[in-house]
Amino acid sequence: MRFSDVTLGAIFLIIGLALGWYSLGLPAIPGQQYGAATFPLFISAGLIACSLRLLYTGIRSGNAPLVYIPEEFKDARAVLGALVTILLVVFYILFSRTLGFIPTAVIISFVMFLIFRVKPITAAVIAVVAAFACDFIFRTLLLVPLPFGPMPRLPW
Amino acid sequence: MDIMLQAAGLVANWNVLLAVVAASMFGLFVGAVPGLTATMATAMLVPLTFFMEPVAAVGAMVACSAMAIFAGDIPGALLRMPGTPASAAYVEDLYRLTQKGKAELGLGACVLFSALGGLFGSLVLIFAAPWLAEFAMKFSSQEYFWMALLGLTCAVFMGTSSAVKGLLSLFMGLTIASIGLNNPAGVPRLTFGSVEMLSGIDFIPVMIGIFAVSEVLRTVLNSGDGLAQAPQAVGNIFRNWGELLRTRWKQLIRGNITGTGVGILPGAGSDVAAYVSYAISRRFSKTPEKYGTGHVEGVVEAASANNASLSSAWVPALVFGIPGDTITAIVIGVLYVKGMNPGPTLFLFNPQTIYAVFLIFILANLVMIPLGWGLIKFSKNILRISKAILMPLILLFCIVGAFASNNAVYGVTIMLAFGVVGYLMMENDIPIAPLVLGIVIGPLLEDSLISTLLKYQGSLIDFVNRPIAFALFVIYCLIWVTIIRSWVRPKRQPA
Repeated sequence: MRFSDVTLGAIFLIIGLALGWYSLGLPAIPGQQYGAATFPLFISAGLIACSLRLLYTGIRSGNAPLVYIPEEFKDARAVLGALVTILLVVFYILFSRTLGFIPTAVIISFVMFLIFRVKPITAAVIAVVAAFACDFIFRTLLLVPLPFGPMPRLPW
Repeated sequence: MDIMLQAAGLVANWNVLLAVVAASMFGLFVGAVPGLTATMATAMLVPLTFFMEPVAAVGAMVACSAMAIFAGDIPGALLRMPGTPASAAYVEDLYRLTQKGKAELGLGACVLFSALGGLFGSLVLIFAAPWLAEFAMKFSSQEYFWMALLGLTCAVFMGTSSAVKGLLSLFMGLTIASIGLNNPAGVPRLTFGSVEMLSGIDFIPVMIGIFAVSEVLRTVLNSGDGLAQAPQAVGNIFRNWGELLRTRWKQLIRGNITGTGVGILPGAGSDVAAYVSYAISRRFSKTPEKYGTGHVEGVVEAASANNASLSSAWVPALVFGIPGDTITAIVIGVLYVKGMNPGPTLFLFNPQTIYAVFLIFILANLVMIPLGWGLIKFSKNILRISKAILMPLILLFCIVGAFASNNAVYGVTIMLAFGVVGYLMMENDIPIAPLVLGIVIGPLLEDSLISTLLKYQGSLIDFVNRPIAFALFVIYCLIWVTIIRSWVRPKRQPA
């Protein structure tokens, strides 16, 4: 998804103004003029200046569409695939603790393989192998506390 | 000499050597797959380094990045798809050589001159870094302020098409760096009441998200283009080495020097080094018309430059904590985790560790030759693995890696957010390097700015009242003069 200079400028202008307004409320070091606000105020000034410049060039260059939807976004399957990819990570964030790492990982990689049009049987086999391999490398060898969930503790 | 022996002792350890060889293979593999960059390889390696000894961890990153930059040439030669952006400058020449049936000449030159370039950059690192560190011991907050500012300015203006977008990316990075409790007044800043954000935004999930997850998203949106054609076999790559060395030594030296120079500049990495030295090579060549038609001259120069820049980018990273490119930005994160905080004192208190890293640089560039030969032999099989199989595995690996950075799903959340941000930035031509360097250099810049302001009660003249600070200030002004001149000049031409 591509944004025009005007849209980008407007987005960054809002961020810059918000940052400046927020920073004004930050305290200084007691007894000093400077503190937590100094640095963000410089940043916000920079953000505002650059976004104004972007807005200026955008407006001068004529009326380009505010948002440009590239070719691949017209392919519903591709867009759906990207959305599902994001949702799969959200799924891990929300459910890995209750479901356990291995089942979550199998679901994520299996669905991802399907998005890439891998044959379901191949996808299922690689997904299971990958989940167990990941679990072995990270939990067993590297001692990362990957969540168990209802899964029984593996013998290795 | 005593230190060198201690350093050699640290390297000659089976788990260090094993880590270096394994990371080399990983780097070769990732570099050889088109679309996966050397930075991505390094970012994906980080979670594994948490569990290694310091020397093994840093050595693994050195080996992995050097191999990935070299391996990027292979799909360039065989499929006309550069494996990493650093190989894009001369991909046309390499591919045409293959079409003429001279794949072994092109790839042989890549192996040889990548290794030689890497060795040259490493030697510069070994001799320049300790010398600069001694010099940097005299630095006070003013000098660090100007160094940080210089680094960020170079990051914005080197290799970015739009200065405004580069600056916006930098300011975003600095904003992200200001999140958390670590600020002069010690108050929660930009945390929005979140307890996890009090310690700031963890750098490692940001890197994994912005370099790896964004690529997964992009491939999904492009419907996972597979590799259709099978590459052809390559002959004996060592056959032309003698002749190449005899006839192309000038290009080798020039490429080494250009690459090293670009590498030391903060923000400009091996891709910029390759483009710059390819252009220089063409400019000084007796046969510039042959460039782009399967001519080995530019390949020699650019292939040595991109590997030379990779090593020399470590100079500012180790001495000042200011990364030379995105790979060293990631390395700085790992150095802090391993208690090897970058700065001049690294050479004072822990010289044997840092010299051990230097030895690994040399080792990695030597190992590149046999491993590179092996990879070229097996390239037919590696290049046939489709992205449809790789991308889901990469996503899974990213999730686990981000989780491992602080053993909580908070890391995965950051990774996802920055994956989407990285994708949107690439789509809108907003360069990523300034954001990354902003996150790394931000704390140093704020620290040195506030300490100088406090020390001198806000007197601005005291920012330049020391000789080195003044010299850095002059360089800074000169850079801005050149930038402003380049803005004014193209506007005059149409008039």
